[in-house]
Amino acid sequence: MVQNPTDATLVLAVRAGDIAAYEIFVRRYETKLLRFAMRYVRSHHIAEEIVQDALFSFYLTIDRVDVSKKVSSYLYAITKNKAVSVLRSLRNTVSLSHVDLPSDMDLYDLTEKNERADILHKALHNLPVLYARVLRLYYFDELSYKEISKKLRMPINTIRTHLLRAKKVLRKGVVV
Amino acid sequence: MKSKITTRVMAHVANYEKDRISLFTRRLAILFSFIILGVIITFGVVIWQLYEFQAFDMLTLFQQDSEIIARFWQDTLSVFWEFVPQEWLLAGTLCLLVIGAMLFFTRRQRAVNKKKLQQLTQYSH
Repeated sequence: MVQNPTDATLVLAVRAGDIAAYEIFVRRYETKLLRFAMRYVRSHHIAEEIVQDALFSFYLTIDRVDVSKKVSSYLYAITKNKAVSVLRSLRNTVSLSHVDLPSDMDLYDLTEKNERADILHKALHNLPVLYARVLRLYYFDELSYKEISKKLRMPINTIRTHLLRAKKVLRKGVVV
Repeated sequence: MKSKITTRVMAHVANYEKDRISLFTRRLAILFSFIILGVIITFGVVIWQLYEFQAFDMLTLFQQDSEIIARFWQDTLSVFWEFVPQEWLLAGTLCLLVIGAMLFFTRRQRAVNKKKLQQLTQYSH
């Protein structure tokens, strides 16, 4: 490979089976994308998750990337979409605590339920973005493994593993 | 020194590629197995039928003197050809052609997969 390959050269190399070329690509953009994602989420941890997610999504669609256009704009667009989607999901999570409760529920139950919801939301915030997303899709959106797998473009077994790990991490977070 | 993001992304990529290559290989292997089974069955039937009609005995002509061979080989082969179950032979040949086509059309993907597999070891944890 040439000394300082262009993005298009790297993309073409990845398409031809050169995985190491993708590592060069990731190294080239990770810091820039991290800074870019931080503008949306203001949390280093979440921004890192967004960048990872974006870079992996970019890899999944690399065969469809038009190398005659600027590759980086496509990558930034993916990152922006991921960040917006994370922001949206965080907003949805907050709104869950304002669910209307049945009128016959007493104050004690209401307080306890709110406390539980708070703990759950906090724990979800601390989860890696991908785990939190899988959990939300499974439990809140009530999607099946297959539907989540389609939505996130990941194998069903990976979804199953993520869900299992997410539950473990969540359980730990909630208990502690 | 790899950063956390690079390590994680490359691990994701490596797992994804492993799954994809293994799926591709499994599908190809299953398809190949079926077609090879088809080839074995069809050619098996051809040979079995030729044995049934003792058609192979005709080919002993080629153990004779060259003068006799030169005189009768065309007749012998045309009679032998009559005994060959042609629909089975055609099916077997088609199966072989399909195998050839599969090898031809997947050659690029197989080369890419081979290249990826060689690199995947450095990203496996």
